[in-house]
Amino acid sequence: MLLRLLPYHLRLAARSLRRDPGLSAAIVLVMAVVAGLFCTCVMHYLRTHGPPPPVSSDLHHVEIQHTWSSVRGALEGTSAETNVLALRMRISYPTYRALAGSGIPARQTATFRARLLVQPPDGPPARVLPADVDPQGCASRPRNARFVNADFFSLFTVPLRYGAPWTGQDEARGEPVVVLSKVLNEELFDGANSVGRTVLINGRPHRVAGVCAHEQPFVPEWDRAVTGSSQDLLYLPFPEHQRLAAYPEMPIHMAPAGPSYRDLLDSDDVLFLTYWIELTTPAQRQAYARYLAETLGARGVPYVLRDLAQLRQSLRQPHGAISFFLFVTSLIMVAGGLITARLLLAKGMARRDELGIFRALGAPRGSLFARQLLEALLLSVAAGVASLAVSWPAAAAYNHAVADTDIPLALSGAAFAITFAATVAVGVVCAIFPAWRAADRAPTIAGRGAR
Amino acid sequence: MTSPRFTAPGAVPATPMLEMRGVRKVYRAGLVETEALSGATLTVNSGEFLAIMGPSGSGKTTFLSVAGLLDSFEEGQYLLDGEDVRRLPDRRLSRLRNQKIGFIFQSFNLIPDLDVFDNVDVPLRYRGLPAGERDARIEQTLSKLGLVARMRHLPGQLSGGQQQRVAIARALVGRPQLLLADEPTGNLDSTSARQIMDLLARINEDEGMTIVMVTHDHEFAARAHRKLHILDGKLIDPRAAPALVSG
Repeated sequence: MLLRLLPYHLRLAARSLRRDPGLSAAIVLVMAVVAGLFCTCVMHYLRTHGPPPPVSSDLHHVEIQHTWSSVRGALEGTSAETNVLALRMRISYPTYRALAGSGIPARQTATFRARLLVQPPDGPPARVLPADVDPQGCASRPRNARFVNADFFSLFTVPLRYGAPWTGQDEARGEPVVVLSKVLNEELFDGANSVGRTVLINGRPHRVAGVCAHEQPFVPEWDRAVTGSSQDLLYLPFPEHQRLAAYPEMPIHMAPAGPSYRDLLDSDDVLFLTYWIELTTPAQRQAYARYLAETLGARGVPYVLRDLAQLRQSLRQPHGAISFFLFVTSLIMVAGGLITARLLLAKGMARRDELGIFRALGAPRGSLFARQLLEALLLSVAAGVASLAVSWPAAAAYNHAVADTDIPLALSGAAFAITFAATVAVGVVCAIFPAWRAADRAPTIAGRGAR
Repeated sequence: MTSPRFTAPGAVPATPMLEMRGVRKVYRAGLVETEALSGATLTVNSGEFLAIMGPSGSGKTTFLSVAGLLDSFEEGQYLLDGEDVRRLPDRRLSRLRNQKIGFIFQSFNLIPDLDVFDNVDVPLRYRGLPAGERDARIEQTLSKLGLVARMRHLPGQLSGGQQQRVAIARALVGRPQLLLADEPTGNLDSTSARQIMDLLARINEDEGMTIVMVTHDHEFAARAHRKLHILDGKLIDPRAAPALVSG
């Protein structure tokens, strides 16, 4: 019977909402504001703790296990959590050369980040912000540049909006190419297709080969030590670091290196690279394990070879503050639900005579209960949709106010779906008591309750 | 109290539609108990037109509420069309209200934001009838009551008499066996009131529908087959105890 009456009850519920537009709007507004705040929190949560972007599951990483005495000096006076992560993920340049020298035909990439000056020499001038102008008159400032091998983009599934990554041959030939991030392309070229254009990097011209489609993930799988900091703005072929003499950003110094760039590359005590290799078959994995045993093992270097799943497991981030934040926001959601329940109760009270008439004419309690729940469902759906109007400015305000990273909070389908589902669930759950009270209304005679 | 068996014109053997024996209804407010019905006993036969009169607060509306299954009672027995309704669950009571009883209220009790058609449709919706049959019944009933032209009007756009006719249409559309009318002319001018009384009398005569009407008006009560008085929750037959109800 309830199912048969569903369209009728929907129609009555919609009429009822129109009858008290002020009260209906107040309920939607309360729920939408709370849901919008909840959505902002969900965005934040998904950014930091959400599922990582798809990455080749056969990626492998080698962790060099430093002894505590050797790393103590490196950690002194630093942000311990980030640096412990960096110590676990990063290796020195000589170690990179050792790891990359296996000769196993596999996709692989080394990567590190440097800060380089970037300028567009042609085309529309860069939109130079006041902060970009340094006292020496150089209309630029150092930008995060990441050196990677050609396989980086496919191994870490970094999609490009325009163009294509450079190839291994380009890399071998020393082609001066660059892939711009979405953000930098918007800044330098107003988001237009800049493939083929030239940018000056530390004064050297580089041809734009591609432009990333999205912002960098908040947790970059390739270098988790930069999680939460500003994003990579351009990607350069790995060998290019030598031509540009690019010093790594925030290396971990176990011991001081010499003054020259060559000293940096020869030092076993400066950790700044991560290295990844894709081992797709058991034979490849065995061959690489043998190779590591012959190189690192023979030198007494303690290490662990992990695939990506094992690495993620070992690096799992504590939920900490964001979980508390989410908990508090959930409490706010529940509080919003209770306010909604109170308003729905008032709405039911305002219509007690009408509900009594329906009861008198043969509507059983169950059907009126279902009708009241449907009304709450409609309000919740409206609030869920309206939460978009709150979550956009809330996210923008958050991005503006909490400038800990240049990776903006973005409304994803998942964040909206979670918010929408939570709003509807809270709305319906909070409507149970008011709906029960309304449905429990005694049948009415003479325009007043018999009870 | 019992009543003489009523035999409708046409000499069909009388069958009781409503039988109450010793029905007692008490309202409680804190420690205060008010006995609204004190052992009400009566039988209303099928096809009978009964008028119940009494001063304000005598228990008329309580009687109709109990008779219409709108309210429960503490003691006694009530058979509606032979079925003991005392301990029936809400679902069954709702179904009996929907299928066997039609209500006419003093203040019409129409749903203000449903048009005439949709107001009359309400009881049929809970009957589970297919849309085609519902529409046909509504149009037929509205046509009988001269309201077809007002089908898409809202109650607020109608006169009091028209609104009461819509309420009667809503009560009749489900073809109930028992029509309960609570001061149906109470909010109407004299012309409209007379028209409504004519209508009720015609429904009773033409369709043999059992009608129990509560009214203050002696003239309208006189049009019923039988008249009972209610005083302090007690039903009194004026023929049996004229002294109690005189004046």
